[in-house]
Amino acid sequence: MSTLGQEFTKGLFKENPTFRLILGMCPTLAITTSAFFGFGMGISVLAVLLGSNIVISAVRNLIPDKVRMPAYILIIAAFVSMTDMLLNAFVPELHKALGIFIPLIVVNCIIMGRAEAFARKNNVIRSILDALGMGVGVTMSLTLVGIIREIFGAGSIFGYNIMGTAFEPMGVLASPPGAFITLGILLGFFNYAFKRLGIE
Amino acid sequence: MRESGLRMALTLLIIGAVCGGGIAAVNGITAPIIEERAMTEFLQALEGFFPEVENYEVQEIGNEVFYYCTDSSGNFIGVVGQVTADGYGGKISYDLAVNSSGDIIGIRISSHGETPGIGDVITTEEFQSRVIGLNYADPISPGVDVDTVSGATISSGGMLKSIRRVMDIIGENFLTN
Repeated sequence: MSTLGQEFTKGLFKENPTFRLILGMCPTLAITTSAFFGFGMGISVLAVLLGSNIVISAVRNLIPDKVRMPAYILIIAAFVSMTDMLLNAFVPELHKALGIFIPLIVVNCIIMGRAEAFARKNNVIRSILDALGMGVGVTMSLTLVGIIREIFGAGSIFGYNIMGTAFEPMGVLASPPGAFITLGILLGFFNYAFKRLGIE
Repeated sequence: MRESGLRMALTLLIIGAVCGGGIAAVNGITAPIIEERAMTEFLQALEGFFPEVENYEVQEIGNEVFYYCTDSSGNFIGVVGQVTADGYGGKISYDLAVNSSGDIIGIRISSHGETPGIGDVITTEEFQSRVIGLNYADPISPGVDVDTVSGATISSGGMLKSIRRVMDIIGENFLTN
């Protein structure tokens, strides 16, 4: 049984949802056109993951095994709806930017994946740590992809122009093919790095 | 029987009810904030259409709201309607601004469900410029004096159909000539 600290830290690097578990690829590719969007989506996923992990873990012994999937979907969809409304009310620019990808968090494999693999088999404290670790991990990776695509695709970071006016932005990086390319290169890099560091 | 159908159904029912309650509670908190912000954005757009506006009278026709705008001397300067169109992905909510001579001077899409990259062309200058400048007396009919956008026929056609309908309402109720 891993320590409580390990339940949190595993989601950051060793079992990073984006680069190690390869989960939630759709929003990763679609939304990371800028650092702010990547960060915002990461935080939204973190919020939903935290809520769903807590509730699913708390009621894990009460849900009959045969209906656990529909039950999880109900709970996850409720948290996504609430996140959608809260974003619309309190962070409207992010809500407008993320648009249809907020409701799509319901089918984000990270959420359902952690519910199935962890929350239904572990207590609430561990599930909280798991959600926080995975959520922070996914926020870091989405922000990283967003930073890269924004620097080379638009010449800025979080909206601050850092490449100067002489820089010709690579439009391809701001579009879907660029997302695949960036993600692929990062995946290769992290696979190599983890191998060298001896982490499997 | 632990895994009886009744137990499964009851579990889902309770979970559904609690989730529904949670969503309703959050909606109760957020809906007023969202509505207030929408109103602020609309009034900003209104002042953008008619900078000289001093007062407006609100009139509800059917399910749509029309703002009859007057300047500081009480002269009628124009009407802005908060209206809807039937698009490809459901209802499109937009504002149509018509001046006292019956010319369309502005259009603002406030919400839509059109396909990004295809139907959302209705939010662009390319489409809206086809409509701005048309008058109540013009046909405003696809293929006659204005064209739909190829590849987005239902979205753009739905908008044009609605604009014609709204112009008729505005003409009948607000324009004196």
